[in-house]
Amino acid sequence: MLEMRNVSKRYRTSTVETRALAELNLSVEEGEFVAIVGPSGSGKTTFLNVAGLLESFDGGSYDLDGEDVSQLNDKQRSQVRNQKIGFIFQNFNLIPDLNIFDNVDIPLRYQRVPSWKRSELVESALDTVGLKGRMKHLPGQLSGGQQQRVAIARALVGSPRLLLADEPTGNLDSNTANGVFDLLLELHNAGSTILMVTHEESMASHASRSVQIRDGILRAN
Amino acid sequence: MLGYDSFLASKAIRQHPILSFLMALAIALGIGTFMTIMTISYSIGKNPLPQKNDFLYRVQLDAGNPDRQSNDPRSRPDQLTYTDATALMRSTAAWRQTAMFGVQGVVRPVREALHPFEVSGRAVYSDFFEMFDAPFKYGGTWSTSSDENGEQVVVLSSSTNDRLFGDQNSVGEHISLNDELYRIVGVLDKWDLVPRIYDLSFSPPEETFLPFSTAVELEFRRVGSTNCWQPSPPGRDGFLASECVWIQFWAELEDSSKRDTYLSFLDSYAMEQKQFGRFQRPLNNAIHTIDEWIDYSREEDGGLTIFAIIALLFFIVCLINTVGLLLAKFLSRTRELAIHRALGASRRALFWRFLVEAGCIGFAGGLLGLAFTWLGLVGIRVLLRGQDGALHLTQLDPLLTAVTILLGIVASILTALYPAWRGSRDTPGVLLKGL
Amino acid sequence: MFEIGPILRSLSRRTTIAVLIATQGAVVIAILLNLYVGISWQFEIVNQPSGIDDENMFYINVLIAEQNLSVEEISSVVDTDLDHIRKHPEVVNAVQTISVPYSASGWNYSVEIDPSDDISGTPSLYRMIDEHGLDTMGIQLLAGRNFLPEEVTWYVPYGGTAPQLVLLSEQLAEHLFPDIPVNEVVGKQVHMTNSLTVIGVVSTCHGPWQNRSGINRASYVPYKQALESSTYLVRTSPGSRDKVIRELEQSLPNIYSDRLVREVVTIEEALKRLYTSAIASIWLLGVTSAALIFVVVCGLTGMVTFAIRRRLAHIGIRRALGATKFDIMRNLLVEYALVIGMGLVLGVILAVLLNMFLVANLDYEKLSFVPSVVVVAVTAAISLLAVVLPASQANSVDPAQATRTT
Repeated sequence: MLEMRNVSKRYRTSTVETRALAELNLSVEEGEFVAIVGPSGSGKTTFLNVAGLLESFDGGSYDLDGEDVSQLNDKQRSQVRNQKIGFIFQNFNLIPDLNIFDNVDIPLRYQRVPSWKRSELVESALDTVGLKGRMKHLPGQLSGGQQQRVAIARALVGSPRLLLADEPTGNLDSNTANGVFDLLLELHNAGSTILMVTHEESMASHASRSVQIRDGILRAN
Repeated sequence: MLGYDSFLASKAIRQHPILSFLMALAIALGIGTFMTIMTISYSIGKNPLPQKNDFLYRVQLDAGNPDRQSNDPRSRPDQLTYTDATALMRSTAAWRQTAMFGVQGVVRPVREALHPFEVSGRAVYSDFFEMFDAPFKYGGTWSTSSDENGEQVVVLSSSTNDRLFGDQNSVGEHISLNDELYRIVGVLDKWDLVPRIYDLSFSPPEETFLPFSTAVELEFRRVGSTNCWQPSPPGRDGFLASECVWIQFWAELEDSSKRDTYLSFLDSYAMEQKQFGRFQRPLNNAIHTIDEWIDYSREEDGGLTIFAIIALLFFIVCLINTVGLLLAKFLSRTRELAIHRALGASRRALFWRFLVEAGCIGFAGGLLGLAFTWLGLVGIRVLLRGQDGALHLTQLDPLLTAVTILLGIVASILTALYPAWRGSRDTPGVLLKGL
Repeated sequence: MFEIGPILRSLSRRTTIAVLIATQGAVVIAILLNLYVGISWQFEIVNQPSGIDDENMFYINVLIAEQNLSVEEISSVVDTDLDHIRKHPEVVNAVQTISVPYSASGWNYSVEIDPSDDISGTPSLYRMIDEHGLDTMGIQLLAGRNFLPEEVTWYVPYGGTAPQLVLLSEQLAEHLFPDIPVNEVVGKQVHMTNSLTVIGVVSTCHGPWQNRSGINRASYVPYKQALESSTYLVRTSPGSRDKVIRELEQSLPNIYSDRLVREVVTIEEALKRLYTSAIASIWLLGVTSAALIFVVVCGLTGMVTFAIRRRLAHIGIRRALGATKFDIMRNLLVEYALVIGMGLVLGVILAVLLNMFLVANLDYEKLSFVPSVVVVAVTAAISLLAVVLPASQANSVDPAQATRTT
C-alpha cells in the first residue's frame, strides 16, 4: 500500500541546513492503522507532509498504491492527493466561508464528479460522521469536535486509499477527543488504511502498529 | 471547473465586499478617465468619409513669405492664393478638384412678407458634391459651364429648402440671395458631415452652395481666415492678385498610386511660378489624405495630447494599484489555498481560479467604468454647452462601449497574472505545518 | 529609536508590495505635479484682467441686407446709428470697432519699426476706433493724446485712405521700444502697411482670443468702417445694460429698416463662451486629480489591510512580548513612510522628466517650486493617513487571538 525506502529531506535557508528526515523506511499494508509517535520537533509533520505529497523529498523512493510517486509533477501529485489520500489536520482546516456541505464537497469538485452524484456522496459522508443535519451551517457555528468530524467526512468523501491524520485530537478536550478517535477506529474496522501522527502514547496504543520517530528517524516499537 | 471557480470567486469577493468594491472602483475610475479622454480624442480624429480617404487630397502650396526662409512644413500656409487656386483649377492633373471658401449671404424670401435672413454659404466648383459624397434629394450639381461663366445657380441644404419651400421640390425655382436672383439646381438631403472635413469645422455643412466664380464676381462676404505676408494692392482686383491666402483646395485622384504624380505636378507648377518671381522659398508643397489632414491640423493643438498622456498615466496608476491589491489579497488567503491544495487542487487550478476572480472584478470595473465614461462625457457636454461639435465629440458609440468593457477585463486579467502566479506558488505543506 | 534597520531588512524580504506602493506613489506624484501646473495655467488664462468694465458692456452686430448701397450711404447709416446709441440716456459711450474683447473674431497686423531689416514684425491686435473708443472701453491714456474727430477717416472694402496715426497699447510699446519710457514712444514712427506716427500709449485691453503670449499687444487706428456689417461696442451706466440692449434691438432697425440684427452679446457672455474649453479643462484636470487621490487612498488602504492581515501573528507576538499599541502603530507608520518616501522622491524625478518632455514637445508650462513642494507634502500626508486607518485596525487585535490563528 505504502512503501518508503531511504526517504530523506533537508530544509535549506541561505545560512542553515536542517536535516528533517533521514533514511526513512516505512511500509504500510492495506487496512492497517499505523501510529507515528514522537515529541514535537521530531519530524512528525514533515513526515506526514512528505507522505501526503504536500512536500517533495530529496532522496529515496516512495511507492503509493503500487505507483512510484517520487517523480510526479505538480498536477499529477495534486491528482494523487485528491484521489488516493484523505487529510485530517490538528486544527481541522475547514474553510470558514464555505458551509459544511461545500467544505466536504471540495475533493469531489477536483475529481470532477457530476453534481447529482456529489450531493449523494457528501450526504452519505456527513451521515457517517453523524452531521447530516448541519449541512447548511458554517464551520464557525459548530463545536471543535463537530468541526473535526466534518474534516473527517471531507477526508472520506472521495473514497481515498489512505487517510493521513495529523494530531487529529490535539485541539480537542478529552471527551470530544475520544469521540473523534472512536470514529477513526470505526473507519479502521470498516477497512480504511490510516496513518496517524501523534505525540500521545495512549492514542498510539489503540493502533494496530505504532512507530517511534525521533530526530527524523523512524524506529519500530 | 469554471463553474466551481466562479462559485469560489464569488465567495472570495463577498468575503471582502468593501475591498472588492474599491478594487472595481479603482479600475473603473482609471477606465472612466481614460475612455472619456480617448472618446473625445477618437471623435476629433474620426474621418467621416473613410471611403474617400484614398482618393481625396488637401493641397498645400508654399507661397509663403520669402523673407522667412524655412523648411519647416508648418511654415507653409494651409490655404492658397486666388492666383494659384484658379491656376490649379484650369489644369487637368486631378480627376476632380475644387477650390472653395466660406461666404455669408442674405436671403430675401419672395413668398409672404418674411423678414430677410442670413445664410451660410460655400463657394465651390461643380465637382464638390461628388467629391464629398453630398447626398442630393432633388436635382443635382450645376454644369461646368456654370463654373466657367459665373452663372447665378445655387444648391440648397435640405433645411434651407424646408424653410423657403416647405420641403417641396424647388429645383427650377429662384431665390433672392444678396439681392440677386439665383436658380435652384439642386437640393441636398440631410447631410451629417462631422467634422466638415473640407474645413474641419464642427458646424453642420453650409446652407447654400454656389459657384466659386460667381461668389468672387459678386463679392460675397467671406467667412474664414485670410493671411497676407505683404499688403494687398488696393481694390478687389488688387486683392485677387495679391499673395494673400484664403482659399481651400481639394483634389480627387483616381487612386492613391497617382499621388506622387500629382505632387510632382504641383512642384513643377511651383517651379514655373518661380520664373515670375513667386514661390521664392525652397519647394515645400504637400498633399494630405483626409486622415493625414486631420492629424496635421490637430497636431498644433497639444492640449488633447497632454490629456491623453495624463489619462494614460492615470490608467497605469490604476493598474499598479490593482496589481498591489490583488497580490495583497491573494497572499492573505494562503491558508485557505493550502487547504485546497491538500485536497487536490493543482497550482494551475488555483492560478486559473485567481484569474477568474480577477476577471469578475475586472468585468464589474469595466461596467462601472462604462458608467463613469458616460458620466464624464455628459459632464463635458454640459461644460462645452453651446460649442459646435460638443454633442459629436461626446458620443459613446458601440465600438467604444465594447472597448471600454473589454479594457476592464483585459486590464484586470493582465494585472492578475503576476499576483495569481505568486499566490498559487506557495508550498502547501509549509503553510499547513504546525497549525 | 525608529528601528529603521530591522524595518528595512523586513522590507527587503517583502519587496513586491513595497515596490508597487512606491511605483504607484511615484507615478501619482509625476501626474499630480504636472496636473497642478496645467490647472493653474488654465486659471491664469481665465483670470486675465480684461482692462474694461465687463459688467456694463455689450456689443451688437448689425448687417445691412441691401447690397448696392454706396460708401456714402453706408457711412451715413453708421453715423446715425452711433449718434442714436450715444444719445441714449443710459449709454455712457459707444464706438464702432473690430477685435472686440472676447468676441473670438478680429484682425492681427504685424507691426515693425524698420520694414527694411530682416527682423520679423510683432503680431499685434488691430483695432479701429474713433475719438470715443478709449472712453467707451475705459482705456487709460498713459502718454500722448487721443484721436481728434477730424483725424478719423473711413475704412472701405479693400482699403481706403491709409491712416497716418496710431495708438499703441503699453505692452506693444514696451515690446517695440524696450529701452525707452512710454512717454518717449510718442512721436516715434512704426510700420504696418505704411508708416504711422505714434500719438499715444494706452493701457491694457483684453483681445478677442484666448491666447497667452502677446495677448495685450494692440494697435489702434482712427477708422470708422463703411461696411455692411457693423459692430458697436457699448458701455452703459451700471445696472442698465439689459434695458439698453432691449431698447436698441427695437430702435436700431428703425434708423435703417432693411437690415438684420445678427447678434447681441454681453461681454460677460462672450467671456464665458470664449473660456468654455479652458473652464472645461480645469474641471477635467480637477476631477482627474481628485479621482487619482481617491484611487491612491483606496489602493494604499487595501494593500496595507491585506499586508497586516498576513502579519497578524507577528503583531500578536510583538504585543505579547510587551509592545504597546503605540509601538506597533509607530512601527507600521515608519515602515510605510519609508516606502512612500522613496516613491515620492522617485516621483519628483519622474515629474521633472515628464514636465521636460511636455515643455519641449507640447509647449506646456514649467513646474514651479513652491506649489510642487506643497503638492508633494499634501500627497505624503494623505498617503500616511491612508496607512493609519488599517494600521489602527491591526492594533485592535487581541494578542492571544492573533498568535493562535495565522
